[in-house]
Amino acid sequence: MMWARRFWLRLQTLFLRNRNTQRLDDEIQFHLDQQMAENLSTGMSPKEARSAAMRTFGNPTFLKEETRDTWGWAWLEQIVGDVRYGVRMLCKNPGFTAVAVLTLALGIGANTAIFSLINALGLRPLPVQKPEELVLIMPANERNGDWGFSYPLYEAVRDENRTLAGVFVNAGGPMNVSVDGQAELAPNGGEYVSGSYFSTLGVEAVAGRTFTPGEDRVPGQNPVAVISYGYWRRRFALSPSAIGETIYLNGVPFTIIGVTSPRFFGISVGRSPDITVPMTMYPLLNSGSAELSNAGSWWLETVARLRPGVSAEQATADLSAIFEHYLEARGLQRLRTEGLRMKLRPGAWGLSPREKLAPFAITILTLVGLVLLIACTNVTNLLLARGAARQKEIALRLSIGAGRGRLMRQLITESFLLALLGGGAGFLFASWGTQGLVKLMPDEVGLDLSPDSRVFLFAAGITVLAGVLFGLAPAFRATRMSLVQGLQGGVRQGQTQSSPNRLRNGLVVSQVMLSTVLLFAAGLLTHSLQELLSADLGFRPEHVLVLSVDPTLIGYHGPRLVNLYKDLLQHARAVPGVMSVSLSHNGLVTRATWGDIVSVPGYTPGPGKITESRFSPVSSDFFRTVGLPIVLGRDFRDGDNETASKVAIVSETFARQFFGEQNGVQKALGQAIGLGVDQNLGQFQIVGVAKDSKQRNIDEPPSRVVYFPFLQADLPPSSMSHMTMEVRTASEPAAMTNAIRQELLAVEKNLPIYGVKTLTQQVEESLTEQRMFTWLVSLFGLLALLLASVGLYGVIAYSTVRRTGEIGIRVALGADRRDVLTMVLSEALRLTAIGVVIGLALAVATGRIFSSALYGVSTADPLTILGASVLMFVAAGLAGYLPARRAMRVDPMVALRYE
Amino acid sequence: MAKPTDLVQGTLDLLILKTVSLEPKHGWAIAKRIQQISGEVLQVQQGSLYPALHRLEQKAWIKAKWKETETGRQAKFYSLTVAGRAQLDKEAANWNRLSAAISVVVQTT
Repeated sequence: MMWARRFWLRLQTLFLRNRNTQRLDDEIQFHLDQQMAENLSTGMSPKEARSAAMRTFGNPTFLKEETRDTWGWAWLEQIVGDVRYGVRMLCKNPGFTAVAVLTLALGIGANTAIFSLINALGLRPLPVQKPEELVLIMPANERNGDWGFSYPLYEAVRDENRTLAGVFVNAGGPMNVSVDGQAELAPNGGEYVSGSYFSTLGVEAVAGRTFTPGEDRVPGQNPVAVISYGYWRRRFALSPSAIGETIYLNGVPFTIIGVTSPRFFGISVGRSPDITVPMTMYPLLNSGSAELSNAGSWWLETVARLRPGVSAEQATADLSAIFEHYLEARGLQRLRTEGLRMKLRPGAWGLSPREKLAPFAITILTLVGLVLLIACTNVTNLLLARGAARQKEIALRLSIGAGRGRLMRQLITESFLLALLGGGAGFLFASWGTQGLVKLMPDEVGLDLSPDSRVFLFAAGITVLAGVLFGLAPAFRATRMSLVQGLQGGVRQGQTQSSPNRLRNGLVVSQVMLSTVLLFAAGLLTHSLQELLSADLGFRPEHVLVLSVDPTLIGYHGPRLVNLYKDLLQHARAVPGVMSVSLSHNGLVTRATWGDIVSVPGYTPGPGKITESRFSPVSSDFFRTVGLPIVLGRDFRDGDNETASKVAIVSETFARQFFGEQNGVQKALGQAIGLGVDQNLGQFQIVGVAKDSKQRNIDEPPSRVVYFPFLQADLPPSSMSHMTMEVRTASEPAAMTNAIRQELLAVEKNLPIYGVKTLTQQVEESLTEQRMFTWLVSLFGLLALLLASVGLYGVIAYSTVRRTGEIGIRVALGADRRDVLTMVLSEALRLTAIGVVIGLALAVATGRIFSSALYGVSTADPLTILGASVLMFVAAGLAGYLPARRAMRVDPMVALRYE
Repeated sequence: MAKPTDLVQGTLDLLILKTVSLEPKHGWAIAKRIQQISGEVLQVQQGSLYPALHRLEQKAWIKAKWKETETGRQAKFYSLTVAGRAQLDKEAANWNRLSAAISVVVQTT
């Protein structure tokens, strides 16, 4: 009970502070009056009585303070006092405060925005219930890495496990959606999930309902769909009547039963599917595919929630037993001997490829961290300059007895106030910044960039760090001074105190150095991007329109599908203004490639190796349409069809690697090669060699490619499902879009057409990531340049003011204005030169970490070195010119009188 | 005049507790009482009483009440709490032990 009473007394002294202070005054006044009365009664005069009372009492002010200290809130009182005083100081210098806060806000804002992005991409767990309980399950072995699940394996695990609270499988796939008779391919695709998907994740519908676990038991019997919030907004304007509406998915009627939360983007960051349907509807939507019953088709991603109290080891043991049994029962023991084992991984982040994010995250956070460092250096410099201006005040306070520690606390409080203001403004900047980042990204990428507690903690953390970083040195320096000199009016004009100048110059040099590093990085990336844009693609993208079609989504397969492709080609070729048309399975620079095994006569791979090549099924006219030159031999003709003998065209690299570096191209012609595992696609005779070209993306090296007529191979159904059509036009290709679309729809009015763009656009889009990275680093570089210039300006302006007297004397002695200008500018340029040299040395030395992100540019690129230096010097010249101009105007009379 | 004996820290607490143990007193009266009883040997600087009084009050060993004095003015009267009584007994016992020990040491050497 004592502690409660003491606590109560404590609270009273805190909250009734004014009353208590008043009462203490009364109490002591009463004491003094009592003593005076007694003194008077011994015959003293009133004046004597009073001073005698004071003498026996002691110093009332000091004793009152000591008494208040016993109330126990002295520290709080001091902080409140420091903060109040700090706020007053900041308000008194609005210019200084604004510059410091803005500088910090830029630094903290940029860092927080980048952190938000990284947080959304890889740190934030899925917005589901208890994400830490989720695990990813997959069979895996050493050679092939992670496999997927087959559907029958999923069923076995679902029904036989004793360690999982829930388990589901999912797979993505293109989906042609028709609402009110208007068909479009769902922009983000569709998702097939088992009925336990939502209940296992603990995701609920914001409108309608989600699937019930029973909704996937009977194949083909549950035509129900859950749509994403984004799709609800885009397609249905958030209308409640969307629930219950019938939509057609790949021609099959479905009922919308619910909408998921706006924060839920599926279980893979960036994929954000629009439409989710039960897995058992898969065959109906995919031309009667038999994948669901195929025990050896490992195509599904599997996520489970562990039962409470079950360890990962227990679950692995449980699932491994089921898996072994499954392999045995299905006659797949062969896989066990290949070392295939069940594996569990943490699933809190869903299927996002977090490992791939780490190098990007580290690089970009380091670069943006440099910006913050420069910002802090700027504020340090400002504080140092102000510390010099406040020397007299501080000297006065020291001389009347303020302790150095106490004063430092005051100065650090001011720094923290600045940091806090900067951090708050930076947090605002960051929220704008992240919106800008979203605009930079490709459409429809679902990323939740809203700040969460992690982002907030990050911002708070770097704010405190910044406060310590920029506040400590000035506080130390300001309180270490000679009192006499300080009281005499600080450092008088013209009288230079060398050490603070050295520190400030050092800081500016390091700013210039860091900015140079950032500018250099930005320059390298920009140069590399230019190289990518002007790289020899092999083909000529100008005047080519590309579009993709997927007739299997509306039920075409087998010979009907092949005939449709032929019809589409024929009709497109008939459009006026079209020069030539072709079809290809992979398209160009679409990141979709197909690699498979080839058998080349006379070429034996090393032991344990296989001969692989990229496979590209195309139609006739492909090389002519995309402008890819045939170096030797001939192009595919219309006659190279199902009935003709099988022919192939290979890339130069293919020819050289398999037929000899010297004369491989000549030797390749006429050779017969086998395509596919055990030559299952057949034997093809090489009739031509094509120039090397970019396949997946632009920064890849030349690769082995074999092209063959898509009509001539017994292709697996999935390889025929969608095709990219290339159309070479006489005029601007984008203008032909409608005419071609009309013509294709005339052949099949429900044909799903998507990805319509010019080939030039396609090439540019393949560089989105590089462009975004370059853009960001350039932005950091410019920000750094700006901050460093402001810092340089501050130092030069300050030193110019201090040298006013000196300049006055020089002018009086006959120096002309040009000499003054040279004197001031040379100081700025000298500091810049030191910074640039160190910065470049550092940048070139550490540039190697960049080399993987660069294309066609060395890390010691002379052009970039030159560019970064010139930019830095121009900025420094400007920053130095403004104070120099002011120095030129110094009137010697005024300056000398000032002294 | 010899400098009055400085009070050992902690001893002042004991003196205050003892002084207010009989009846509630205000600060000036406590100072006077200590001077009187010790025959002017213990010269407390009157003001230093107040930090000590407030510290003891915060520890809930004494409690304070504003009351009228006989002259009709408002004054803060301090009195002992139950916890304060226990503390006084403890500190007095400590003091007796200590002073006895010291006098034995002083006499034998």
